[in-house]
Amino acid sequence: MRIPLSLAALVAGATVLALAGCTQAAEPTAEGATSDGAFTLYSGRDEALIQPLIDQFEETSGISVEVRYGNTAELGALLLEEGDATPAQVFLAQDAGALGALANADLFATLPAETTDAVPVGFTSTDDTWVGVTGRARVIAYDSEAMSAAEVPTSVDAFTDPAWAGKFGIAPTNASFQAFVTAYRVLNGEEAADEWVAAIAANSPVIFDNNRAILAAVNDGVIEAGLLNHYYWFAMAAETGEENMRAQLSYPEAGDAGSIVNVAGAGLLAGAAEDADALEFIDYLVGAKAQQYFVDETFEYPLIAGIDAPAGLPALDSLVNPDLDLADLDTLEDTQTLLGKHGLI
Amino acid sequence: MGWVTIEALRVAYGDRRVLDDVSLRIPRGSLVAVLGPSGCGKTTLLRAVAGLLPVASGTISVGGRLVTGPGVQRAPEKRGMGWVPQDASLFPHLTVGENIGFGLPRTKQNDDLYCEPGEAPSRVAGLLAGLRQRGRANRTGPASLRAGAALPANPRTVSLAHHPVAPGHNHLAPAPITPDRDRQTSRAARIAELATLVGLAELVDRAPSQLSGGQAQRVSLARALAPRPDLMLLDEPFAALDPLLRSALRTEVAALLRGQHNTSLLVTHDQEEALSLADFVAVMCGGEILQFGTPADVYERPVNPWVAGFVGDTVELDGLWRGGRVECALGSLAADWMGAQAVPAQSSGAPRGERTAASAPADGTGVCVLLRPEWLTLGARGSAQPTTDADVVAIAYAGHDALVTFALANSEKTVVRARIAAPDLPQLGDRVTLGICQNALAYPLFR
Amino acid sequence: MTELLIPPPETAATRAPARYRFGAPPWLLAVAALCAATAAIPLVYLVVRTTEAGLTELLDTLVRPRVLQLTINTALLAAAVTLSALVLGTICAWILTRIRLPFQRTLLLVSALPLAVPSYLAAYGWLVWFPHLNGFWASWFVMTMVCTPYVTLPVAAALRGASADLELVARTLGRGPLRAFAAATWPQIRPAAIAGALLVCLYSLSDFGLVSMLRLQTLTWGINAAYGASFDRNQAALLALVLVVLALVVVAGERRSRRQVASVPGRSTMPSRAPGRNGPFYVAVLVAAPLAGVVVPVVGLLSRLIEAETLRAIDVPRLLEAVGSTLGIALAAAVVAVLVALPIAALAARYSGRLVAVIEAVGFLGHALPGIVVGLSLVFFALAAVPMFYQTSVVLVFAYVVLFMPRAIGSVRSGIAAVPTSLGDVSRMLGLSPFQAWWRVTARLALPGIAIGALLVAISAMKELPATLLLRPTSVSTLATELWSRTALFEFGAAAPYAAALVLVAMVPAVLLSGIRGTAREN
Repeated sequence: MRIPLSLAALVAGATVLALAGCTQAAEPTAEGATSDGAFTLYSGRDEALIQPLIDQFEETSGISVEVRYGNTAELGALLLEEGDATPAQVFLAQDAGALGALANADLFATLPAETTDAVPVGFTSTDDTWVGVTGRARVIAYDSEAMSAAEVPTSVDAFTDPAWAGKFGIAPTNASFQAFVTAYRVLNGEEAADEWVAAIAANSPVIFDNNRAILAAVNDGVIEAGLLNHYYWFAMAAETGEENMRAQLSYPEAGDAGSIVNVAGAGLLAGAAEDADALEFIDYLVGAKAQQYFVDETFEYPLIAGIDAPAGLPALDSLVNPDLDLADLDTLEDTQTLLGKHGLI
Repeated sequence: MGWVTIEALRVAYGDRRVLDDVSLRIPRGSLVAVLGPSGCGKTTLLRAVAGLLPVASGTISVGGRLVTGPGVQRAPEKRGMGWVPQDASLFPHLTVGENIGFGLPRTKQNDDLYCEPGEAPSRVAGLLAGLRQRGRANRTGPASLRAGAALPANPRTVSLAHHPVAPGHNHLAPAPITPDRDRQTSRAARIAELATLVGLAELVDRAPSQLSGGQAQRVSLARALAPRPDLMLLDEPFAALDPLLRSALRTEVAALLRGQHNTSLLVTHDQEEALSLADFVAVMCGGEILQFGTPADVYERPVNPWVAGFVGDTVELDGLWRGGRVECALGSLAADWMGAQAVPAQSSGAPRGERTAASAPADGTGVCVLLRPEWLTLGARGSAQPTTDADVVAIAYAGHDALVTFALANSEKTVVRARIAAPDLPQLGDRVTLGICQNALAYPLFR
Repeated sequence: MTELLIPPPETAATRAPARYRFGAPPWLLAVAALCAATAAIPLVYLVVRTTEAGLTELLDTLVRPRVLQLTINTALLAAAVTLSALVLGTICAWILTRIRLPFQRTLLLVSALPLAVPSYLAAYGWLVWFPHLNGFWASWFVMTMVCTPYVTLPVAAALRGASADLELVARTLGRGPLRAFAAATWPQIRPAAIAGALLVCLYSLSDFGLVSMLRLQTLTWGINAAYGASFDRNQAALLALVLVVLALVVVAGERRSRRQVASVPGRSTMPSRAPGRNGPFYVAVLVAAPLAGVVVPVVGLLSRLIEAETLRAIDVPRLLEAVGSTLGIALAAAVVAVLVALPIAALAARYSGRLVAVIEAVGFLGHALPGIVVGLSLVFFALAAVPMFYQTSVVLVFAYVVLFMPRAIGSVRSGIAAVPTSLGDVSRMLGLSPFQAWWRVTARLALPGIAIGALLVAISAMKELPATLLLRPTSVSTLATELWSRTALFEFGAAAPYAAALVLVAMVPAVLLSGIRGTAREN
């Protein structure tokens, strides 16, 4: 049975309101799930980006959300350390790798099919342990004072050219870069990937810790180009003004490994399998309202049908790669071995 | 019987034995000096008596109370002893007056001078303090009552120097019993009393950093005296002072201690200090007490040449024993045989000569002949001993007298030193006749 | 920090031992060992995690050239920063105490200010001005500027109390001013300088914020990458263990070089000189660290604020709430850290021996570990041992204690060591029980050292980020976490008030620190 999300929210909200009046204790709902009108969220996503949406959710559902902010990696490590003892019910992560690691450690409950079905294959887990919420395109940020848009490479292969030596930035320890290298391996084969990584490593890349720092460096003219996720640019532009941005974005041509989409997603922790409030929030994230919010406020790709991508971004369809499970840790490990072999991590 | 009795005391730092079977009896009201070189264990002995370090075995009792013994290790604060360390160790964060009053219990009524923030005594605490004081007074017994009564009526006019007491005066006069309450009436009064006693009444509000070394040591003494201890322990209290101040202060302190009828144990490495101040001297070396006796006994009848040398200057010669005389470079001298092992601690005041009777060696035995430089005289004056000619080879002038080095005429390699009073001083190169005014001391060789 | 208090000459015994010759009492050993055990929790955690990985994986990881590279970078950075902070700090302290400059008090206060600036903020501020800054020398420079006060303050205090007699003697024996200082005064201030340098060294080993901004790949970088990209806790633990080994070497080295220097008798202090023509030069040296460590970053941050398009209205209640929780937690951490450090410090100050050395060294461990490792280890520990305290302030405060106890240990230890043992003996003989004697005399006189320890812990706790993010009670924010959540996405406008508040709040203990003197009574 498939009911509209808003209706589900309405029903759940009404239930909660009714229950909140008489007791704080968890009560079984009609589906066997429990609801106590509150849940705890670990958010690897920044407060400024997600809190307004959570406020909206609280308002419409009547469920109160206790949020713990941190960066995705640290919260992932925290959840691994907490194991079953975690106070969290939902984990909202910035990258699929973290979600995959937790799924691999059996820390996630399986999500109902009606939740995961909303998101097309390729942007979500293959086994319903987590669901993709938004997509971020890999892009090349370039220094607009150093080159024109036409001069920007259309393929990541260009950065092996000695002309780029010491002028481009990467964040090899960052999950988003590793997902991109995984994509490269899947798309072009192990041999080609090995050659590319070796050539990049030999071409004096400027190593950063994270995407944000790469963008800042491009914008300051420290490097001429960098590989990162697209939405950082929009966040920075929102702060300093679009017209002041020295860094500009270029999208690699469709089909290039550099043009893949990374997803941010959410998972329901194993101990909260029956938590109706937590599940309602995840449903909310992949609902039309939240997806529109992400398009408007964070310039990310929506992952459900019927919502248009932010203006100026290439169509999501051109970036989909159905063969690739970005959360597949075995293949992530191979990627790390490859990067480690060439001294990048 | 001793007021303080130390029996078979042993202290070890790890495997190293620092005190070995030390026994000592200190008569009540007397000042006993423990004299020894650095590292001989004398400070360790003092700390063991104070309860500041654990002992391996042995007993210590004060006034019949066992403070250290098998299964007994009374805490330092419960021993009722006063402690004057070498460096004064005044509390730098307190004034002179507060230092003096540090050991006085504080009660609600008399806590008028010193009360630390957050430590204002409650009614209960005050009560407890009172009980402690009473307990201490009972334990202390008559000695401290007497001490309280022995104070001058008008302390302001009296300073230490005006209290000359003969060194040998250790006889306690009976004193009227002072009501216990009187002594507690005011801490402030007691502090003022002691400040006056040590001559620092004007300085009670000073900080310790503003005091001279001598003043600091007086405050330290007053602080230790304030709670009327059963036993005063003084750890080289004058060592850090300059010589002039040292001799002045130690005379004052000795007079003061006697004036208070205190039983005191003084540790020092300065033989002059020990001999001039103490009623009895215990000479220590290597963790053992080698000799215990009156200053004169220790100086004139040292149990072995080492003690002799440590306590004062000596003239040492090789000799042969011949029935009550020794044959040496100075001729055949009447001598006392010192070979018998003196029993330390119990031998106080043993009449001289008693030991000579014991087991004198066979004639012809080689002995070590020992004299004090002042036993050598110019000419035959006052001497029943043979005289000998000698040449003056060096003079160490010291004002009142001089230490003169002679080479003996009949044996130029033999050099002796004599202390000659200044008016009689010969010239360098003079040939003089040396006499000896006392029996020489003969010790077994290889001791 | 160390000898911020020098016993007045009267009590500086020529013979009173600073240490007892007897072994420590068993109860003190036991309590100190228990306190040190808190600092060993991360170590236990690391060993558990590492052994989970299996020997072959361990060896594989260890022999990777990258691990070697990270280790070398870490060791070189720590060594270079320690050395330069030691030299600059000593020179600053010398100028502060020996040259009669105008506004001396203010200059001392100013030289303490870099303590208030978190390293990540300093690095960020420099990047605003010089975006090209990166790598070893940039990290070395900014880190040195931030860390110098750790040396300046204790050395200045030690110099103030050092006897000048020996230096004057050395001058009369034909040594030049510099060589006389090295031969005569340096040995007196060396324990203070070395203890300050130890803090600098451990800090630069464990710091992540600065090296990540300035892109120097150290072990902490590797540890964060292991957690971040691969969720490989075992590898992270292994890298952290390498860090622990480095730290142990450093702590052992410090113990060896600390050596008890007998206090030199003599009351004369070096007369301060008029600056003469070199005045501007002296002032320039003094303000170098505050300029580079405070002014440049703060002004950089403000400039970004002015550029910011989205200058949001300052949410005053939220800012105040963050200030409140920062102060509250830092205060609690300071008090608890000092309490836990006290037995260890008392033991280390008064007794020697192998066991004492081990206990003290273990107490220092936490300081060498990055916050994320300590944070995770306490997650592990709290959930296993005290789940009811998990994600409460209790565990967070405990984490600060593990991380920053060493700062308290060092200063409390020298505070206690500066109190002659003879004072304790005298108090006992005057009827005080051991605890009364400790409370009324030793603790009272060691109070400046204890206060310094507490202030150092408070400053550090205010600035701490990674462990705070992991362990804070959900929905409680400190200034550091608020700052982090706003800089993560370029919101400089919104971040600026928090940055300013953090620096200002942390300045309070820094200013107090520069003002602490001995407790000896002065009329």
